[in-house]
Amino acid sequence: MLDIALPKGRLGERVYAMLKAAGYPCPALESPDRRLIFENPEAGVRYFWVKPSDVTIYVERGAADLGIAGKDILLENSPELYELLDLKTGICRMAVAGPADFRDNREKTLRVATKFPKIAGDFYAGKSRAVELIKLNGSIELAPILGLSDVIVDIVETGRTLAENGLTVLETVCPVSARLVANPTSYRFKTEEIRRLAGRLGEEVDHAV
Amino acid sequence: MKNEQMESASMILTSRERLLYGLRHLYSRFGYRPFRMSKFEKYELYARNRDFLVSDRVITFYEAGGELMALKPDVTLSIVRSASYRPGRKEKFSYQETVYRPAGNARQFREIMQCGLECIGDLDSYDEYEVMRLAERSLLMTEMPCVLSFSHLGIMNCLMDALHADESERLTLRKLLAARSEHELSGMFSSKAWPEALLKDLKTLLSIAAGPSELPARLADFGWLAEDVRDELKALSILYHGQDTAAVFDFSVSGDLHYYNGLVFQGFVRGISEKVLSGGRYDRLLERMERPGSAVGFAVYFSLLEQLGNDAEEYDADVLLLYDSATPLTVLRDRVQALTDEGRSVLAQRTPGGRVRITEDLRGGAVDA
Repeated sequence: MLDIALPKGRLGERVYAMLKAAGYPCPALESPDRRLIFENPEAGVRYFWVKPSDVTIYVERGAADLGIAGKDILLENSPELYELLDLKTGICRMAVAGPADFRDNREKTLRVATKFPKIAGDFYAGKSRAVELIKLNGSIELAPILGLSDVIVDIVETGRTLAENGLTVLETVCPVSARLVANPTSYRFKTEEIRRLAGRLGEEVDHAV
Repeated sequence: MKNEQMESASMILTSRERLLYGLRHLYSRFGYRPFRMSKFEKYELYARNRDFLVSDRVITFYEAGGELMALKPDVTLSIVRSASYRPGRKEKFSYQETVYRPAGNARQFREIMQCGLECIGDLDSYDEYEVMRLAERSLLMTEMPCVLSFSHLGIMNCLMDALHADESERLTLRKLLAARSEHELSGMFSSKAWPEALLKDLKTLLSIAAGPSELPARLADFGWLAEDVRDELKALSILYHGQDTAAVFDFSVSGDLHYYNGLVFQGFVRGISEKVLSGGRYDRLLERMERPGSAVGFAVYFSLLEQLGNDAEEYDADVLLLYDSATPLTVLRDRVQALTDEGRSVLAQRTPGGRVRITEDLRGGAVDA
């Protein structure tokens, strides 16, 4: 039996559809109730819904063998996990955004507001740029508008929210998409089951692209 | 009397304590002498070898004389510093120590119980084999399904040499291999225009799950692999020939190349979400500390083994003796004595409560079972 942590929301539903097509359905999960754990012994899977940012915690601590996590979460938290597959869904990018007329003054420390201080810190460290990181938990777009920061580093999907707030993408930090992650201990004791699932899911990904 | 004491000692020891004594006994049978050390060291030792530590966060304090000290975050550095080199000989130490560092990605410091061994001096293939076997046997003593995943850093180095990878590319490759991230590796090979054939070899390496005795044959087709690495693996395979083993080659296993060289291994036990053992050959650490000789060893992260088994007592005691002010205390004393002589555990209380098998009521001076 493989325990799989799915992120609540649209991404989780999309990935479940891929898992179902790959031969890992769970009819109970499709019924509209408020349960959080669903099992299909015939397919050898047990799914549970968790908050997207908690998926890696469940997998890293072995409460789940596998999970679906965004590359942003993996880069920010550096969990000790195996990243087995790029699911090529939930595609977006981590980007630096700011006012369209923004001009970087290298004589000053750049103030960067972000939910992802590690990703932003690594990005600017790679450019040897002195920055002050301001950790926010939401409504990041407000920061440059109110003068809290010069730029933001955040997830950008369509860019519409940015545009509506008078901001634009200045630079791409890295592409982001959903990944299949595995607990290293589970991988060693359920090797065949995990490789089989990753292989079948990989075929689904190739099929969908 | 001695046997009786031993028997009762084994009854009250938790499975964790039994394992700890078992490991100490195992290591001593192979000539590893217990190494005791202070809880703190000069901070300078850790500052100079920061990369070798599991975490670079250390608890520091000033000694009365003003010197900056650190609560020990690691044991190996202290042992290496104490070992004396004599040509043709080796020193073998085992330890059971508490170290102080954050566990995993946690923000809080923890007291981590760790045991293990170090073999330092003029080493050969037999020493590597012995240490690796003791690592396996340490895992097997948990009586849970276990795996000792091993690799040889020479394989990774030869592959990176074949790719002419620079320092930063080597670092990225190591990270991607450790995450078994084949899709990212493919992306990297494609962006660097590295040869497809080497990507294929790398993916093949990640798929190999062979024991030490079968490994040389599985690596035979890799033309870029240096002869000295093949020879080392061949020597290990000969020693492993015909032995039952929990050791399985795993190319994702790695170690810091500034410290480790050659054989590296990690131990996993079913039911524990992270590696419980880590070790390998670390001649480079000796070089950095300007010490002659070679070294191989491992640490068992003993605190993690708490997750195994359940030593929780079902009952607080076998018998609850209820008494009150009317109960002669000599009656209570004699009843406690009689019950404990029968080998039962006893709790004397004035009020009922707790989880007990039997309650005896001595209140009012009566003896009423």
